[in-house]
Amino acid sequence: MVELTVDGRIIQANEGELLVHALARNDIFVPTLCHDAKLDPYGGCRVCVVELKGAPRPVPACATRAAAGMAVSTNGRAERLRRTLTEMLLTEHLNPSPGGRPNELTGLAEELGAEAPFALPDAKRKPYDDRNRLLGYEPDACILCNRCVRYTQEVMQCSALSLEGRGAEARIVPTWDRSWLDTECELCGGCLSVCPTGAIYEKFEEGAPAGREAQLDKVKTTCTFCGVGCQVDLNVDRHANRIVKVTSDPRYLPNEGDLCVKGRFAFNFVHHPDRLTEPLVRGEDGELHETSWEHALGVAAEGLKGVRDRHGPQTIGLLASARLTMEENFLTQKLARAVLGTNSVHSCEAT
Amino acid sequence: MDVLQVPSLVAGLPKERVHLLDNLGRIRREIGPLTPELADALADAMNLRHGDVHEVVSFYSYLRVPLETPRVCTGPICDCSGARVRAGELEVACLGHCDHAPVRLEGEAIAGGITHSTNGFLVEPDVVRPVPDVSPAQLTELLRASGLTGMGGAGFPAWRKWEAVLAEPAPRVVIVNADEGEPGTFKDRYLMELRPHLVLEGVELALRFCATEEAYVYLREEYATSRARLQAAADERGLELEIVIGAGSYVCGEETAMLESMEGRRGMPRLRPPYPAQAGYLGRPTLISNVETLAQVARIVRGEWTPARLWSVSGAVAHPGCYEAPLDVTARELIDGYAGGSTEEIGAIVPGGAAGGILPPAAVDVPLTREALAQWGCGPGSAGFQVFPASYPVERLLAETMRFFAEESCQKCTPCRIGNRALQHVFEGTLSMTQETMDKWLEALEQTSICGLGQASPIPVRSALRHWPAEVAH
Repeated sequence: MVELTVDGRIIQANEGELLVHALARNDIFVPTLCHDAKLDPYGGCRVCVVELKGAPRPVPACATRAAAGMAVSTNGRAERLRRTLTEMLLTEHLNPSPGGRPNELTGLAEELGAEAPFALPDAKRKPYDDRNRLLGYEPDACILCNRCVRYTQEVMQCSALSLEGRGAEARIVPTWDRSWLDTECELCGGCLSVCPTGAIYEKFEEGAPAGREAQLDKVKTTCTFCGVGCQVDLNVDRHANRIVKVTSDPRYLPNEGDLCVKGRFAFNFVHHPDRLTEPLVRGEDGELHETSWEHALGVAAEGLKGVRDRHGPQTIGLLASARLTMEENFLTQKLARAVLGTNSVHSCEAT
Repeated sequence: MDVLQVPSLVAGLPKERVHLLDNLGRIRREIGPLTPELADALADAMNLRHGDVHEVVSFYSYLRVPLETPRVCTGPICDCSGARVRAGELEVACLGHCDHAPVRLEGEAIAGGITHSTNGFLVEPDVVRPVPDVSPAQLTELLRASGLTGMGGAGFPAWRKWEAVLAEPAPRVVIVNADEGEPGTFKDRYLMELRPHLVLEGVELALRFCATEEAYVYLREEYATSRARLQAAADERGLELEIVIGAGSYVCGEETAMLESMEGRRGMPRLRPPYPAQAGYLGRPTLISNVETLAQVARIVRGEWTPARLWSVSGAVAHPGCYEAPLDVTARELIDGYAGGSTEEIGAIVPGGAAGGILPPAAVDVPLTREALAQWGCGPGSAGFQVFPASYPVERLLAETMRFFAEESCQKCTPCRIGNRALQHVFEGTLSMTQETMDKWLEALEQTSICGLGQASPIPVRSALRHWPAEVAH
């Protein structure tokens, strides 16, 4: 641990940790837009600048490492610069809410009392349209913080998005302006999750109002699509009582906020009319009837026991779903070998 | 484009990412301008992501343009000399041949050919001489005693930069910064064209100093003659030198942007620390030195140096050219004593490239030193000395200067990306800004930009506002 002086106060920090993190642990919050703890320090948006004694210019707290004896000032000139930089970003932020996602820039502007003094005459960017049904992108909400591009490069290690060009034409766009479906993109939606302004959004949420977040309750649960056990938040519209999207949080383990295409986007089955919500057993009349779990499991057990008794245990095989956890797979083979007495047990994960 | 050529050329190219820019240049020269398909083919061959190559191709001005497309310089001096871009031509920022304004590049040749108007050590015979044997400690001491500063524009004491590299462990790398892009500056081109051996003598001193044999030259693409003469001189000396050819980007002259460019990424400046001396090219301690600085180092070691530098003089003078003149020369002396006098009534003088600020005619007798020019809100920068006639409106000069910064901004940091564009619009008359906003924005540009491009762009604005308060409206 080293000691730093921040705004006249002495704080403790781990040597070499990023200043912005050390400050936050000491309840000194310096806003950031381009920073993401998952990614390498970038220092592009500059809204986290703080003054550092001995440095010729203010330094970005997101890319400066704590060292013993540092004297840091987060207010005064640093605060004025932060407000100016926020103003600058607002001058080309033509569409702050294309898909109802939270917008850290407008939030910061409100907090600092910053307003765009004018709109840049060339703020309008070349639009982007895509035939994919999951990811929407509005270039006029983008602040070129490059988080999404860096996420694809550093975390997903795929080629989906690029920071293209220079000058007024510069923009972020799927590789060579192609459809996301024609890039290496796996549609995991990670770009959308790291976007601070909601420029990339769930396409089915297009046009959702800016205050959308306030209507949503987050219900934390475990994703059921595979055995990894990613933690997700089902975002439930409390008026419609429907899941409208799935998000995750970087603090959640084991996935640290990352999801795959299924975990993030395949939730519509929840509200599908054909979804089974109760156990069904076929009656004497040949039709399926709702029943209790106890009765349904009893019928299944009777059936399996009948097959085993009439034809021998090796005539039964078990094929487990790829969605089972390790523990559930263990129980499946236990059921097969110890209870049913068959050696034929497999998981579809292996195929 | 002959598609049948693609597989055979691409397969023969080196695969390491550090060769990306060179490979792209070769494809452009041998097959044609980079299309998404060509870029993808190269990415596949080099085992890179398609997006990585897309980012790089789109960053530079030239890679998507056919070789034969004429390039028309619209830098301030050429603009003032009546440069106009016609259909089918590419408009580019300063081409570095301001002594021939208005400048047009056809393929690799400057239309009308190049001539030199010069003096001093630039006209001495350029021959191979044995490189003096000096120890690193002696060399540092010689540099310190001379007071030599980097000649690229930032003006950092040379000895401190050299000493910093030596303090880091081997293997070290030497890079010659020959990406001269500051509008109005062409002294490094004169040096490479007229005194390539003197430059390479400096390179050899740097290599010995760093105890390495690894030397690179990052050369702007527009300098074809420099490339040929430097290569011929290196061959004559038996010096192994890798010349990396740029592809049209001013900011790549910034040393960390240059490192990124050489490593096959967009030329976006790195955050410092670490400095290139600590972790530069591929993470190795790297000495990046401007062409003129290296030539001056060679002269210092030989005891031939006097406190003088090379001034690129262009604009409304009888003999535009590159002249060796004292560090404290005045504008009047440069114009009358070296460049044959002015050809028109002087309206404004830019003493040191786009980032050097704008001087009024009243300052003609001010020594062009850092200290004296600071009193006028200007600086000697890269010594790109430009004389503008009174008939060329200063507000146009300012608008063109800001357009240059806006177009060349790498887009990494907010102040440079947005601030320069807004200022361009303000001085082009399409946007108005209150004084309060102007002050705050200039402060943010200067204080929070990552590199010298954004940090220095307020200098021309502030100096113009100060010296021409009535003309420069916002």
